[in-house]
Amino acid sequence: MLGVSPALLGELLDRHGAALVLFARQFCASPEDVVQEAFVQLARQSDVPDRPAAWLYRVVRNGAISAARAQQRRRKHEAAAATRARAWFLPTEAAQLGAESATEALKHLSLEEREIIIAHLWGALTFQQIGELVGLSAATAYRRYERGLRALRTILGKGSLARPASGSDEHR
Amino acid sequence: MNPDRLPELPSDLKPIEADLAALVPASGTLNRDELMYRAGWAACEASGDSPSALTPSNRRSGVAWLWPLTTAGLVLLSATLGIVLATREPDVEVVFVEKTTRESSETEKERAPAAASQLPTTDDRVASAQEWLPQAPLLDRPQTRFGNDYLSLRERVLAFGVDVLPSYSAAPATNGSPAIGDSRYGALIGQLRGG
Repeated sequence: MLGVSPALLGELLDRHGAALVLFARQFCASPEDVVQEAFVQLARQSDVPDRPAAWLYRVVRNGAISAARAQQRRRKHEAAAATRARAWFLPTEAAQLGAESATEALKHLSLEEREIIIAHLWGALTFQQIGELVGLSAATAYRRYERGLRALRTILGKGSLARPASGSDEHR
Repeated sequence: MNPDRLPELPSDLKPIEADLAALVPASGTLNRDELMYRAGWAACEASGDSPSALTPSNRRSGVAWLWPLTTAGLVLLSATLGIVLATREPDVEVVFVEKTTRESSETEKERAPAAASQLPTTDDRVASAQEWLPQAPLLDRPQTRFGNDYLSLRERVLAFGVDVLPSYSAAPATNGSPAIGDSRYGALIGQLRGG
């Protein structure tokens, strides 16, 4: 079989699975299903994509948008409640930012800024790949990214959402 | 702006970028085992192979077709034999056995010689009569020249007529037998002679 090997599939899942879930969560209430379906689609490919991570993000984005449309038609309020209820990040002691505060801060951004930040920070996609993903140029994607970070710094800098003992202001 | 020459991120944004990058996204309920299983199944389907046929014992294509072909052959054979059994003429030979008649005829044939052998002959009858005759004291026993052989006398009478009968004589009784006088024997002889 010339398609994706199980080793590569497992590696992609370990490296990008959680970030893809976070990415899909920006669009729909069932991100795990969308990510799983994306990996299944990758396994069906007869040839390995040149950039499997970028390919996965594109498939997840399309799938999540489709799922969100279907969910909006069916259960608009339930989907919104599910999106709010689930944690976006794992609570870790090493992180300077609290998981909940970071989640709340990200929710204040626009969808476009969020998906660019997530794809770059946790998906490790280049701005060129992100631009292809969201339909923008790399420069525009970079500017949106920079703008989003400034908005986050502003939100978290107010102190209301930042973790009290994080001391994140020392880094700014 | 050349995408390969994007400006470096401003230094004031690097700390917030680092803090955000330190967060670990939650994978939610994403099940790695289930995902890998489904992916493997999808890969098999995409390659044109049936996942159930990829077990080690069935990977050789010839072996994979062995049991289906055997099953199909046996089903065809069973159907053919069933049709032959259902449509052929009944091969039944009817044999009528007259058992009772045969037995009775055989029995008669077997019994006939035995019965014939058991039938008393004339001599036997005479001998039997001679045995019984002395024990019948009330009978009139003729004392003739022929002796006590009544049967012999009867045969002679039947052959030659009553003329062969001995003449009646009022002889005294002998041997303890009753005397033949005006007995019924005499009357009988008289009637036979027309008297």
